[in-house]
Amino acid sequence: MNDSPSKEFISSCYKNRNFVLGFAMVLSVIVLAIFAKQIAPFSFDEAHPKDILVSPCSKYILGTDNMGRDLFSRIVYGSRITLQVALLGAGLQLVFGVTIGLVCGYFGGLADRCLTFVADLTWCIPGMIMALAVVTIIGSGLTNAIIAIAIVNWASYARMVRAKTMSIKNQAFIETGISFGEKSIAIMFRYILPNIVPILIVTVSMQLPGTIMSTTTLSFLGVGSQPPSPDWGLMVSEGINFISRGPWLCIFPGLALVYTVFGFNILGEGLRDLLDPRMKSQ
Amino acid sequence: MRNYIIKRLGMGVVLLFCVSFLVFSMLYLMPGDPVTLMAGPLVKAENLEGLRIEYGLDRPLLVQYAEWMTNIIFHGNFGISYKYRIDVWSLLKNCIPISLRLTVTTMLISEALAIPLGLLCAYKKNSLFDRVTVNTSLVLTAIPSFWLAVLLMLVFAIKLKWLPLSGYESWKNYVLPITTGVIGGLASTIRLTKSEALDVLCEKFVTTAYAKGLDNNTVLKRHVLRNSLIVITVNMFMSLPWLISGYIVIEKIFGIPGMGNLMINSIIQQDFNVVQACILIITVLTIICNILSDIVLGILDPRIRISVTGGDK
Repeated sequence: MNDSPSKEFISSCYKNRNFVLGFAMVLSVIVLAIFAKQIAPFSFDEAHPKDILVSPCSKYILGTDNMGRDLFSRIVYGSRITLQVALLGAGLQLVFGVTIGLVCGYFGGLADRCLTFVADLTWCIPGMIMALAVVTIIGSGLTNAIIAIAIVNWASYARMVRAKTMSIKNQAFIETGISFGEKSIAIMFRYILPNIVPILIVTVSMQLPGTIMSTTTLSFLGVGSQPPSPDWGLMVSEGINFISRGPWLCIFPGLALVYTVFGFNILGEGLRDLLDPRMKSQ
Repeated sequence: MRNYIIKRLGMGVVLLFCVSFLVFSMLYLMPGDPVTLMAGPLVKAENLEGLRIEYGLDRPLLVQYAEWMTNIIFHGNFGISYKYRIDVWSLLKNCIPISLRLTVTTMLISEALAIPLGLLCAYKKNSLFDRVTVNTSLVLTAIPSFWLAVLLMLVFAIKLKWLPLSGYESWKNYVLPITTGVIGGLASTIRLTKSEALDVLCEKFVTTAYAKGLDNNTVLKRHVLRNSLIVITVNMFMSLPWLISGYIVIEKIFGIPGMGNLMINSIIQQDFNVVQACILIITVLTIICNILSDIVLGILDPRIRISVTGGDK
């Protein structure tokens, strides 16, 4: 038996069923995205004019769409878009939320009150409406949809980081740092931030499924990814036009999305139990 | 109590002005000249200056905002939809009742299902029923409403042919949209009810109730249910505007001419005044619901009333 903390942590990871299952599901999506070229039999925009709306068969495992493109290949390539949404979306929300939360919590004062008011303001507007308003202003497209969702979601990060910062900044080690002559930026990012990282990881993993879902919904509504992108949301909305002739066009991209979101969901639950026992679900 | 309500209403009015100003300034946040946005792409460049003066866009921002607000509040005038070339309000006035009817029905059905389920989960914690319900709702949260709607359409409208695919004439048209909406909101309400009831079950007054010899049923009904319903009622109020925004997707799929469908089509066609009006109406509705829920919460739970007004009732 080796009792080093990291070993202990890893063995407790193995014991957490949610974490293991979620990790495996997310990992499979990541593998799909990295090796899309090797896994997919065709390219995502390769049309076969002779094989239009073919139902699932041995050549096209999941069938083809109205332009004769292989659905399976498109779904495989679509995993790249979904992961891009997850990475970029979470990254943007983190950068916005953490910076604003740290500054507000550490300095307090007028800026803090103004930003808290703005955060409160974003909370009383339904997220989808605000995202649509942002997309109206900055235009459609996947990147803009990701930005829109980040503008909607940053407030929850900022709120959490601000509260944590305010409780940490009065502790003795911060005072020690200040008396060593550390600058405010160093105090914020080298003293306070590392103490927030575990709870940040939990927050990110809890927010990720929602981020993916909202961005995909924007794509479904036609203001996110534009054709011929193999975005899963866009694929479902294109499939609706052929719903009676090719139901597989709607079913499989949605199934892939549910698989991914569910994977991130239970990964988040597992991480929360592992990293933050106080927040443990009842 | 009066102070509490006045305080809440005051905050609400401030919020309303901030939000309406934000929605108004959307026009100026957009890239490009506001005149071209308002007039549409068909207007010639040499007429733009005249239009700028005609629309009053040459005046200071705050004056324009004041005029825009007075037009909306006193005349119900949201401007003109440049795509349909008619008054925005005459477009909206047909859509709002449809959306409201859908969302209120959905809310009632979903609460009627979710509250008993959540309470049962809390009372019979860790039983088979609890675990099945919690896991099912975990899976349900991973299903996007647009995909759920498509699946329901496939099964009930295309394979079984029990219900029509789209349209809005008979009650049959509303079955699938409402089912989608109910299932979408079910999981979160179940979870909220359960955690709320569990919190109440840990309270000291529940122990007291048991200690004074009340039987299980009476404790659950009179003490736990009543106290956990406070937060749930408030949640009902708050969920209404969120439901309207959730219905954007559902209305679009089932071709229901509600506010959500109008809004998304207007965004795609860049019909700016309509989008602005929709966003304004939904956000104002949200804020009103928030204030109402705060007031209801204050009436139901004196502890909150006191914590806001600082002790003087």
